Amino acid sequence: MAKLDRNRLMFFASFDGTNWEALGKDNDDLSKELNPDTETSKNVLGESTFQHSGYEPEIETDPYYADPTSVLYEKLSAAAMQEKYGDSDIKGYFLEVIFDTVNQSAGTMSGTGYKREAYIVPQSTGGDTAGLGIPFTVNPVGAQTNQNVVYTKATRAVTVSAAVTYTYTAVTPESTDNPASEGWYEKYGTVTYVQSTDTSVVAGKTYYERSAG
Amino acid sequence: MAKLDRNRLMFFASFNGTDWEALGKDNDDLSKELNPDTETSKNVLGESTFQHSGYEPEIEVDPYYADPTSVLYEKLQTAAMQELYGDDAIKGYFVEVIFDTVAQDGSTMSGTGYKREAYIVPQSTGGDTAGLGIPFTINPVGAQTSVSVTYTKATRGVVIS
Repeated sequence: MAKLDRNRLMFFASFDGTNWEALGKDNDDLSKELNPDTETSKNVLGESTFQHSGYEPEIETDPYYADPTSVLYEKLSAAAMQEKYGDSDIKGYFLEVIFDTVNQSAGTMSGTGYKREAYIVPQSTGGDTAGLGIPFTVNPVGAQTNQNVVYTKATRAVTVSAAVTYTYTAVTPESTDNPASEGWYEKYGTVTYVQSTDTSVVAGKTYYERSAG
Repeated sequence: MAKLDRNRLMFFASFNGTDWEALGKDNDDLSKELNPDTETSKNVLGESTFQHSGYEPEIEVDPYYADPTSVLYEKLQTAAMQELYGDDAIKGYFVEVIFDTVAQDGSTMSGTGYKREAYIVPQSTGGDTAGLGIPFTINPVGAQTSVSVTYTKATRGVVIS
């Protein structure tokens, strides 16, 4: 196993909690900056000390080129042009997900996401000659709820639904089995299951079958 | 004798004190910044004065690309995604070692390390197209204990006792 592809982690934004947009169409670098509020010091014993007072997360989506077919366009352009900043104008939702399952044949990825309310704040209008830019920041707020997220690569469509609890059961493979095509998982850590990429059974390795519920 | 190779000094991190990860797999530059709290001044005798009030060490591991097989992955990504910052979510251990002994075939290195508790704090999620990034900082705290460290290059395995 090596590092995960960048598209295994995605951010989504929505104004109504129903129509979501995958963030990053115009970006080759996009992060949720956690901005941890920390303080390091030292004590009279000659030791270092550390205090963590929480995070102030922010996602800076810049550039972002306006697209009237985008689900964010209408409210984002209205807030930017008319300089609105009330909750009804800029408050929406943010969703962050790591996709742990990829279905190559269907062209989908799925995983557990974390959803919460967020302020979607336009930063400017105009920009360079590449397009009409309305870059914005997303400031997530409040409590997170777990969601099941399925993303279709070809259409950038996303389905967000109630979180699913999965059960992983060890399988007894035949020597001719192909773990990758069987859709089996391998376990790392205490609760992390990763789709196997083995094309033949590796002796001594435990594979798991996943089922919902 | 010439200067030491960079890999003679390594940093290791762990959440449970048992399963360790060698830091630096994605980095061509990685330092423990000591951040000395110093003050220079001068006195009425026309002399320079200096005061050192201790260090505030920090290790910035950036980039760090998520790998589900890493022993840090599970807790690091959970803290980053769910924005957890309690001790049970981000407190672990840090070891720094200079390897003074290298096996004749070069396969292992060993030396005395210094172990202490540390906060492993994710800084962001996402990043550029090179991979799924979860860069983090390590803030060592408390008293150090000496440990014996043996590192196997081929597997990146480490035994700390």
